[in-house]
Amino acid sequence: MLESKAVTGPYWEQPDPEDERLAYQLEHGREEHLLLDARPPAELNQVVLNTMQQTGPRFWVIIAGLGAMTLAFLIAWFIQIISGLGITGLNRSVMWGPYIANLIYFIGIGHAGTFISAALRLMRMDFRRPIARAAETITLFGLAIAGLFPIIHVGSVWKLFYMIPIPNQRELWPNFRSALFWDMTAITTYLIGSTLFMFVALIPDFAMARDHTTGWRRKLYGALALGWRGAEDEWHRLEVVSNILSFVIIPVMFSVHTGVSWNLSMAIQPGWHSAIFGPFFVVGALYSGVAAVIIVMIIIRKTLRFGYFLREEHFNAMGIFLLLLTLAWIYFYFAEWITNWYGNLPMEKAIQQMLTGPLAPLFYLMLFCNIVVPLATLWSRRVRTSLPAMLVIGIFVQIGMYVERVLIVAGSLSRNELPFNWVNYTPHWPEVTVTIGTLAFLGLLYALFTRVVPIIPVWEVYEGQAMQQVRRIGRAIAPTRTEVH
Amino acid sequence: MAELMLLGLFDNVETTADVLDEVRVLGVKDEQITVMSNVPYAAKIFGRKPARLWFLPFTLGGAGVGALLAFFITFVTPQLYRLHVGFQELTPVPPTAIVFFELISLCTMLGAFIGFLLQNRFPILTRRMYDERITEGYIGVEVRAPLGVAEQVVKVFEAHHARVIQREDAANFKPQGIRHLLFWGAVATGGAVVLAIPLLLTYDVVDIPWINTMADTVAVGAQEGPRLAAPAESVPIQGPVLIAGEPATKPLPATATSLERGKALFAINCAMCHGMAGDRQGAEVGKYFPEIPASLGERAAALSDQELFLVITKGKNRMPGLAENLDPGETWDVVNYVRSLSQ
Amino acid sequence: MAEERQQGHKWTMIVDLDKCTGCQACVVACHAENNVPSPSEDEIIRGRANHWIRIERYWEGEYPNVKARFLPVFCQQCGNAPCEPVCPVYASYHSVEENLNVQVYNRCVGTRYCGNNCPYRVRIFNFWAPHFDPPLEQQLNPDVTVRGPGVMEKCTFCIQRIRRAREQANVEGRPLEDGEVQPACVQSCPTDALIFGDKWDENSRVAKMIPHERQFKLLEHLGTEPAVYYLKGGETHVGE
Repeated sequence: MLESKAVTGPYWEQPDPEDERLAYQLEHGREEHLLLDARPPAELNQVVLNTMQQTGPRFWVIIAGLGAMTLAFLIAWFIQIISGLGITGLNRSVMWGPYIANLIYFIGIGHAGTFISAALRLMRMDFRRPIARAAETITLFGLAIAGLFPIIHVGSVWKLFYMIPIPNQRELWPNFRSALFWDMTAITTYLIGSTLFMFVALIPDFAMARDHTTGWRRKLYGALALGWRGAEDEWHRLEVVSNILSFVIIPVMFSVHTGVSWNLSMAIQPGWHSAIFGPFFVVGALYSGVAAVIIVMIIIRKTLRFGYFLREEHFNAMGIFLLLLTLAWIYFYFAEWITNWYGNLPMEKAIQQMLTGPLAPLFYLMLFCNIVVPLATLWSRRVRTSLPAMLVIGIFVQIGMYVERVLIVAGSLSRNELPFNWVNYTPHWPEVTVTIGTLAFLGLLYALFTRVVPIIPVWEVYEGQAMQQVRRIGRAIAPTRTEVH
Repeated sequence: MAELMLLGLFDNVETTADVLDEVRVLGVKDEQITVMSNVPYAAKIFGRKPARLWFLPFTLGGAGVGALLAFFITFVTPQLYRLHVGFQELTPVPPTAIVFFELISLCTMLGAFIGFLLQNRFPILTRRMYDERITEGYIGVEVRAPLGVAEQVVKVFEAHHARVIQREDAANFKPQGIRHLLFWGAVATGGAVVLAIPLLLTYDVVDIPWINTMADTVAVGAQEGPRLAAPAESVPIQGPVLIAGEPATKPLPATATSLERGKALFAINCAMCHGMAGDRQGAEVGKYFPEIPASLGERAAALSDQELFLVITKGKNRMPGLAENLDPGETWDVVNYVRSLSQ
Repeated sequence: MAEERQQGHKWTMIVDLDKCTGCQACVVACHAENNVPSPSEDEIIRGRANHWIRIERYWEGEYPNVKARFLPVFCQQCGNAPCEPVCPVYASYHSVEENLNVQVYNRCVGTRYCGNNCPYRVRIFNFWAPHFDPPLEQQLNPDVTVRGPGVMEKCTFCIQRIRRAREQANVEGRPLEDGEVQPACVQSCPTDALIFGDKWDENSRVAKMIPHERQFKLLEHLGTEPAVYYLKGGETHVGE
């Protein structure tokens, strides 16, 4: 494996260097870097497949808990449809509330998946390899649940099909001039695109699962693998189609959250009507999305015992990524805030006064979660590589970003041009139940998904390991990546 | 047994590249060799040429379809049903850019994906040479060669310590051909059916009674007057529409059931004055001025259906309007019955 | 580009704030004419007062020298209505004949986007199915739909009266006369503070009154081109 000596045996059975010091360094490097620590794929395949097949009672207890919460959400939704939106806390001024905040939140956590797999793929960042699928799965289910929220939100859900552009007897088509229509097309595009992108990358892993399972799983994976053999031209086309999808899906990803923000900023509501909302929301989405990926990485590492695949280096890299996004988010929030503050326009002033007045606890909680916590901790490598610390930081960021969305949606609406109509908003039980229930629903879908689909893209890990070499520089060794196109 | 299929498994790329070199020397063409692995190795690593790709027509075609869909939504649908909103034109430019972007992106991705499937001839429905140890990291080399050459290839495999050597008659492996076409035909048909199902619903071919909270409004009842004509911009409604001064439309054909209903309603509401045959043989003869017509059928023949409808709902001379007793459908039944009197 | 066509009528309201006493007769008349259910006290506390016309009351000065100012606010029937383009299903659009901002209840899916985008907050969402305490259901106006739950509604300038009058005029083969149409609020205003008519009819009362020295439009800086003109009140008493 050292330098370019001819090798015998597979890449995972390379002899250690004869120099003891270098051998020691290599041993150390293997502990640290996943891609240096090559092991036989036969063994790693089983590690991944066993986690899918071996399910303990604790898993089913968790599934039952999440299922019960999901059921509570469905019941609350049903009651809301039957009795009308009157049971929520919404009112004549605050017509959009946590349902729209949830839409933004769930689309937001769905953003990191594609960014990690598509953008980092194009930039050839190796740390994405074991993370990509876990992140894409959040995208898939986050988006699907986000797509539920407009349905939960509308008053006449039984008429919602009017929004679909299909020929009909009413001779009426949806209004493409509405930002809601843009948003709908953007979410549909993103959901279909992410699904295709994820499926293409899954084909080799389905083939792996097909080869090493029995019974119904073998049949299922056989059908999903589409007859993949891993032939050269198949790989070549897979790489190219992944690159095409990556290039198209990155602008679509930006457009999705921009579209969501435009739902707000196209309105002339003070506090919403701001040109910065597009990029601001995209950065916010990535911020909460990366934090969500970190939380999920910790959970699957702990519960599925993926210590081999998800290592300190990955949490470190994600921590640095999160820190960068913290800074970007602060920049955008500050730019938005100071513009409004300096302009001193009556309506914008009223909104800022409300945020620092009656809503001050939430506002300062948001600043604490989004600014103080990450900035105070993430600069330290020890924090970034400590799982409990990263879990806590991830949860803080989730809380902060959720509160931010609620403040933007419901907070801004409670102040409008005619002070006679200033009404404050307090959530009632349906909003709370639906919000918690949909989070549980996300967890439920995710947990069941990990039983069926390899949550670690093993072929990407093998690719990294096969293409990795160590090079001797003086008295040290350094990992280098081999790239042949 | 004219040709043999051979599959050998090797440990690493170096060996595989050596094997391929030696097999080529034996006169086996590059197209007869397939290299399989669990990792994307570039063709260059094995000294081979990468496969020719055909993604461009698929992505461009997809983009074109997306642009057409977007054009339809942004430029055509507002013309089909002209409604003005706010200060905006029927097709303002900035929003069209968004719709074009999203739909072009969507169809480009779908096109690339379909291109990926078709170029790989996915899904594979026939058996092919394969070994499950390929997904365990070993590199498979499949060679299709005539009998004599195949024996030499096997020797090359053995010389390079192939882990496994499979050999089988090439005649056992048939190209997918018609089965593949049938599969995609079935998928396309299924897709078209799935897309057509909503049309059955939106065009009321399949009529599902759907929630309409405003159809049975509490305000409608005894006091309801004739319905106003729908404004030009509104969604067309079904049922009779009565416009003062303008003819109403005729919605009900004179079927046997309609005539039967009309007869019963006529007996209840009209016969006391007009007589069951419209011949004035009712209880109220001689009480009114002007007199009740002696032959209702003849009199009605001079009037249009719409006029009859108006007379029944609004009344005429001493005859009271019957809008309270007869809903529009029932009124049309009576009109049909009155028509039948003169035939 | 709704208002440039000069086709049909441009229905316009003038509110003379100097004459408004805040008596709320218009509010009651509107509830009766348009089948608007009466909200309960609890609903009003929750910020769901669903009047199509409301009298906004602002206090001026410190006790004991306080004055109440009344501002009747209803749908301003904007020429450049912000609520119209945001509707994804065309439930809110601009009518060609009346040049009004129209809401089609049967199309409305209840996204409530129009409500957010109305700076006057005059759009009412039906949070509940409508309920009328008996015997109130006996007085429902058959010309107006009772709107179901989950849809948006708002002041229509009593479009059912406009349409009745126009059809009558059509039958009689004459143009509509000024004063022939009166929305319920105008009809019930005891001080004649509300004046209604066609602005494009040069001889109408509103057309003559609009170039008034006290005239202003509500939130005019937003460029919504309201069809409601207010005449300043307060200490002016110019109208006396």
